[in-house]
Amino acid sequence: MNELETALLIRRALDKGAERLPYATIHRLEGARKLALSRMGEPLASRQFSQVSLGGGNSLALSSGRGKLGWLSMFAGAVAPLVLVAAGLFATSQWSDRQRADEVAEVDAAMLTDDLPISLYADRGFGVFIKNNHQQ
Amino acid sequence: MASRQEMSDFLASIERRAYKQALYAVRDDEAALDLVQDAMLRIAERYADKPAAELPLLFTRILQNIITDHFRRQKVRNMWTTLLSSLTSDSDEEGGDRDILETIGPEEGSERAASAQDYVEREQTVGAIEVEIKKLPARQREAFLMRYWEDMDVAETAAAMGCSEGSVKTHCSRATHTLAKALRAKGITL
Repeated sequence: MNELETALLIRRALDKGAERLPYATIHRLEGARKLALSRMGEPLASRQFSQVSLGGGNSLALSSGRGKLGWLSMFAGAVAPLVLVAAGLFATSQWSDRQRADEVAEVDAAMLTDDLPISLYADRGFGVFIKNNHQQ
Repeated sequence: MASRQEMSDFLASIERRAYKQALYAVRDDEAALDLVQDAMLRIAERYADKPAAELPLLFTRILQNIITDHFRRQKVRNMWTTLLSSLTSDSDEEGGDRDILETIGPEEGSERAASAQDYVEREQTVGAIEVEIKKLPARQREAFLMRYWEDMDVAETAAAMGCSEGSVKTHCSRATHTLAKALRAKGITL
């Protein structure tokens, strides 16, 4: 028997083995096929990672698709948190500046109306505070 | 471009053989099913625009790549497992040596029409062949299955395996001789 004949006989045996799969396996394969068909061409519209269970216990599959919108959504997902952080820092900075302006205005008003105790003018820290704020 | 029906027919025609090929390679039912599902998803999602005639070769390459990736991931996982605990690696090896006859063994009570003895012998022959195929070196097994089970020609097999046509012929020849010798040793005549 030559190589080809042997191979063909082995192939016939393999075909028989493949014909007699357990029902659960056939069911899983059918489910996988249907899932694949439902995702036909999907990555052109989106990129997503999903876990899929086809009723076979721990049968998990990681599938991915990569399309234009997928990359855009990934980019947006990465940039959005940075934009939020920047907006938060800007708002905090604005609020802080306004607080300081209010404090200075309050002190100025107190000085003009002579509400400040006379001893405060002798305080070195107060002098530095006045000097700094007037420079700004 | 393959239509939905063409893709469906194609997947239905190869799913069992694909599962068996994955099973011979990874020796784990669940892992084999997951790999086939992953290959199906990949070809449907990324290569639906290809002509139907190109699907068989594409699918074969995808499945082989996914199996290779599986082994890479397994290698990394085993490395960490070995580092963390030497006990768990022993249980992995035990699981890997599971006899394929457990999966496709004869079903009792279903041989009413045929002779019970013939049925059992046929099942044993199929089981023995599958066991021997699992024992083949990976490259020989891939070449043999693609060439003789998937009906791919030498050039297609070489392209799918990323090697020369001469290497494919050598792998196929060695695989066939090894299988024939092993089956003869078990007293199985083809």
